Amino acid sequence: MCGDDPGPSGLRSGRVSESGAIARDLLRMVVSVEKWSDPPPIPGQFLMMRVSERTDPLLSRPFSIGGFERKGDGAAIEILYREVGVGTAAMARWPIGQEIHFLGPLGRGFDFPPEGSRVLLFAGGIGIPPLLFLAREMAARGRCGELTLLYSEPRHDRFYPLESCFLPGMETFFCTRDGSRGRKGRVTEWLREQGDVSGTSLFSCGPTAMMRDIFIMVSGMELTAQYSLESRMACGFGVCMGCAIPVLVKGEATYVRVCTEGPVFDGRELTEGSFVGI
Amino acid sequence: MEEIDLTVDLGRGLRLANPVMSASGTFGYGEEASRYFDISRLGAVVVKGISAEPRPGNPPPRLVETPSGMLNSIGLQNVGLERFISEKMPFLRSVGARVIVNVLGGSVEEYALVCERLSGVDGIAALEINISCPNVREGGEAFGMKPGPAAELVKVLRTTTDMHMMVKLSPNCGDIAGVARAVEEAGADSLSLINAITGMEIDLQSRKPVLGNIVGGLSGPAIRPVALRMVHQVRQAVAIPLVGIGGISEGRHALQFMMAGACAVQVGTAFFSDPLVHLRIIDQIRQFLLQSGENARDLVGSLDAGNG
Repeated sequence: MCGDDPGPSGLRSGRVSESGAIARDLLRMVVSVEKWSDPPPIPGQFLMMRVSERTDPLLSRPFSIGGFERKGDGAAIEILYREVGVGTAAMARWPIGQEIHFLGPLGRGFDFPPEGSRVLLFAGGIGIPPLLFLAREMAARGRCGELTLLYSEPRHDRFYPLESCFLPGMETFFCTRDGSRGRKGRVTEWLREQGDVSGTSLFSCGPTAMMRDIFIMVSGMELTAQYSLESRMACGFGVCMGCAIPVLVKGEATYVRVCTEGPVFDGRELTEGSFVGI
Repeated sequence: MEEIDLTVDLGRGLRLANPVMSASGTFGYGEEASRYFDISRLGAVVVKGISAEPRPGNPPPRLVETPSGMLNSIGLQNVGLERFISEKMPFLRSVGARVIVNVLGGSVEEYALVCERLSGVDGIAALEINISCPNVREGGEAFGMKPGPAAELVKVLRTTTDMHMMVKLSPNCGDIAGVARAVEEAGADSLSLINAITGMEIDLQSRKPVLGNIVGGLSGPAIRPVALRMVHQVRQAVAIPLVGIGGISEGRHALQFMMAGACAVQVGTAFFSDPLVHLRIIDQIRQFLLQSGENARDLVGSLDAGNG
């Protein structure tokens, strides 16, 4: 807390202002918050969403922030998710106007790429939100022309409709497992073809196996790579130690919290064994 | 408005401003919680358990949600004694928190070392001894599983410190009242109960346990009736003050534990979904007492169990 003590602050309240499927197996929700007097979230940060006012499901669920816009005194926050369990199933049923509660923004976001650098974004599946948020931020600063997005999904109809976003100059390569859109295959195959991508700023969020492959591929190259990892979480704000992953700190193996020391990690902090996932 | 007296006395110098504490392992060392509220408002802050050397904890997955609860197998990850004293205590002192330090060990000697060292440290109000740790020397059964080993441990620790010693009981033993009695006799000043209940979950696709450690501790609303029953049983077995723990998320739960005989309560898992739950519960207790015209200590043990 900085400045005067504003008193206790806990869960924020908001209302569902938009909700629905935006692609196959991809749900989008916009949460409106009446008053947002805090700094904006940083791309890479996440929310812990209460999905029940009862004891079951018990725990809040983590969602990366895909977009943030101030609206007068308040704000609109966009999240993207898949229906994978009881928590997300409950969310998908919330009507417009539903009051919801969440903690956030939480965690460590991306370090913005230096001016004039070539930026590569590797997104896989439900890993798109933090990279979308990063791209939007770069667009707002007039830097989209430096961006290349590699976006991978099993099929053509699962992609977030990027054409609905204002991302002028961003180059996008789609990869699909079945070849139904863009290039057939994985983003890592595209990366292999590029050879040495030293000198770029690389950002990645997606299936853990994809990020691990990228991590291995670029080790030994001169570049900055940041990975937004995921983990099972109970609290999301650093007190339970449940989300910890193994890393090396000064050569010593230790566990750090994905919710607090992450979810964004610089590649230099990680080892192959850090890519644990859910 | 009348002033309600929320103070409770746990004996040997441990008087608390109100009956609500944090539960060890759910509150770190207070820094994260301090982003949300002034932690000096809690009756006490019970911090993550400390061992002599740092412990890295268990490999993931460390968590799984269960019906109205969760399993954890964190593995007692902590920064170790020296880093706790040099890095964590200064912050706790600076915010004026009432600090209770939870103590771990793999052997009687390790517990003793930690207790002795912490006794010399400014700003600690009491020690909470976690006796659910496996006695690594003696084949791995937890100290708290039987009255004998539990009492032997507490007897040794009693000689290392004049500080208030609260012993945290395990529900995974066969006779919690027996362990309670033995530990009281060995010199414990108060008892906190319960620790988490050992549980497990299996993934049907992989046919493997979900937790990296196979088993973990069950906590949350699902365990509350068990915790409450154990407080009731132990209340009849010992005379020393009790602290109730287990699935408390509202004032009315805390009140049940106090009626059953606990002077105070710890709130743990509920904090994960609501950082202001402790303050909410303090306020709800206050509201109840305003209605009933009692002070907090009048409530303790006011259960009418007939011939129970």
